[in-house]
Amino acid sequence: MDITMPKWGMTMQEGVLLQWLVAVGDHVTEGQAVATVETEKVDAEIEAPASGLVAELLVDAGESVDVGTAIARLS
Amino acid sequence: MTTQPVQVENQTGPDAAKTAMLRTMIRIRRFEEKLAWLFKRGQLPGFVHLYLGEEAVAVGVCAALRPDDRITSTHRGHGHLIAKGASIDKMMAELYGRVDGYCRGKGGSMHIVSFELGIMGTNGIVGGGIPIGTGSAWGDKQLGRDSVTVVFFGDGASNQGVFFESMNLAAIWNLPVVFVCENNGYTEWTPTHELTAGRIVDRGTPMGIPGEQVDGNDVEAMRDATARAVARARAGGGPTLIEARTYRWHGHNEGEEAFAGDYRPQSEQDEWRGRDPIAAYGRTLVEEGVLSQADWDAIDAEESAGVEAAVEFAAASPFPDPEEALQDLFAATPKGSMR
Amino acid sequence: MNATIERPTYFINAMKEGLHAAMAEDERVVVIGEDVDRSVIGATRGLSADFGRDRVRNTPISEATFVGACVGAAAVGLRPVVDLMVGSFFYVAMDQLADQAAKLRYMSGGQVDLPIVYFAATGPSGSGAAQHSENLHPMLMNVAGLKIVMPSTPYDAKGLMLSAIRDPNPVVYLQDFVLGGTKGNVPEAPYAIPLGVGDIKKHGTDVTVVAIGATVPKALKVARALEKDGISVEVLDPRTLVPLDKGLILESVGRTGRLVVVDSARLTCSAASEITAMVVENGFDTLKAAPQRVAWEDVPVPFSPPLEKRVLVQEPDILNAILKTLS
Repeated sequence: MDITMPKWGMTMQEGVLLQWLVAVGDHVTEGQAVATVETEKVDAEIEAPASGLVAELLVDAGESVDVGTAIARLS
Repeated sequence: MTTQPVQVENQTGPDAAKTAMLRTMIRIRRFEEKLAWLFKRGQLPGFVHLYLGEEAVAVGVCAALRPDDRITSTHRGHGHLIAKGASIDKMMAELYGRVDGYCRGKGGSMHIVSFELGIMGTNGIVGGGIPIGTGSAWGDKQLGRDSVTVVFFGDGASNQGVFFESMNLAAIWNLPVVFVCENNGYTEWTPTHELTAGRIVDRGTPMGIPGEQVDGNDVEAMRDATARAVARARAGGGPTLIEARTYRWHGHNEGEEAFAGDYRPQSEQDEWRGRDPIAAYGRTLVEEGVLSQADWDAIDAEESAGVEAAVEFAAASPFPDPEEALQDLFAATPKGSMR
Repeated sequence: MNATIERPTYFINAMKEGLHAAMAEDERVVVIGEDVDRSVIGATRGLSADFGRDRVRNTPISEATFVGACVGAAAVGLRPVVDLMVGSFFYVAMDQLADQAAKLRYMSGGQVDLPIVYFAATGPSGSGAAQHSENLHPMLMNVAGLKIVMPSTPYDAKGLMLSAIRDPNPVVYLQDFVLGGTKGNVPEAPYAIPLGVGDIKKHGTDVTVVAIGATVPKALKVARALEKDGISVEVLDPRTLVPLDKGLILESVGRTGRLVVVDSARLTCSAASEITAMVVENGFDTLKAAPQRVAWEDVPVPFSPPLEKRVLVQEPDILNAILKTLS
């Protein structure tokens, strides 16, 4: 399952991934914060949509990605 | 050029004020009658909505106002303008579409304004002035002034959403505004009771806005009710709703005979004409000894002459240069700093 | 243009800086609107902390009344700035905007100045659906009496906000939703960009693309891609639609001989239509090819992503229009 960049407001088209809070191989539980993201309004945390193993991080810290883009893969 | 407010000899204080109210009502009456006459003879461009029969409302309300208080008005606004001190020369010139009119001919009957006199707008949209007057009250309050705005509107406008919205805004922001509904019984050509649920005066009650129903043909009752509301507003007590019960002697607009038919019972019209606010007040002042019948007649003659002079003034004023149509859309941006 | 300044700032915050500067320089400037203290879009967030709740006022959801109240307030000396939140909400207040605010000065023969700014986030934001995706600038251009500002960069957003507030007339300031979260360099000190002055965002020699609001970055992207094919595209942002910098547009088309106008609005009677007509009337001799308009399909903006995409302007639409003028 992919973790995607959420859309937190009508103006939000992209977000800057500030920091990964998990690494490949970590086990995460549903709702756990996995990354912090900067938008024009707030800095906020992205939560894991399900429990699982972090298989891949698709975006580097500091990178800006569009809303809806997959940023990590859970297995 | 302008009609001088004539004093009855030796009058001061309350007597002078009463005489002035009678005079202003007569001025409105003669002005409106003249417009009806002119309209019928094709002398006026466009169309007019006359205030005949409702004179006591405007005059009573404006008698309770200071020069720095403000009003917003309606499509039936000539009476409000005259009562707030507008020159009938400049009004007539505007109605003729001439360059010496208040708006240099750009406004016409429904858009005569004079910001100098605190007349923030008449309006061609029923209810359109209600938010504007609510806003001028907000502006004055925000800028630390103690001016009060009176918002005139009709019974028809009491069914517009902005009436309820504006009462709500005035209540929550505690604005110095007096909502004056002139209920003349007809929403255009339909009896208002067929279109309007409940009593208009009660419409502010759920918002905590005090309401007062007043005999709109009694100029002193109108003045006193307004004075109470204005004093409350000036003291920071917030808005008031006044419903003035009155009657429109003429139609919704002049010339309506062509299509409107006979929609008002003659008996009703006769009854209200029997309650002519000017005749009643004149009699009262004569009985009170404020003035004599001769004084009254003299005032009437002066005002009639003033209206004739206004027509002459208007007719002598040139039309604006057609190129003026392209002016006044935007104010020029000041160079350099913002003010 | 301030290329040396390295101060990346979100569009929304650039607007706020303009607002802040205007409030600081003139205490008659007040900001009102629904939830302006919290500010769902963001341009007014935090202003109440600096200027107080008296000058940053939450209104009830009564657009017609607070849009109209600003007319009365401005006429007596206030300088109201209104956050309408979402472009479509102007429709709720249309009488007060189009019949009162826009006309009172003119009808009165120029007796009164009405310094008011009405701003809102407008245009499609990504599945905002029909009632939260409107762009009203074409309709409002036709009203007469409203100035219309539509910035495309954070730098312009700040400078135009200050000018809009300083202007003695009603100004409608439309902030495209999708630009709100974009970043650009913005100087910290206040500065004003005059209304009615367009800006060439990219110089070119083969074709002029006039782009409006959110279509500017799209046009720039297409222009840069075409550069590799040896096609030199000039991208011109009018920045304000009323007044419109006709001179700059005609001058640009005079050089390139080709015109594409891209608008984030429905095609019929769009700003693209007006600008195209203006160029055809005034610069026909300079045209080497028929001008092209790129705008939305004439339907409401649908919700579902593929439907929305079908209706709105996409980069290939701009590309194809450019190529058509060159074929």
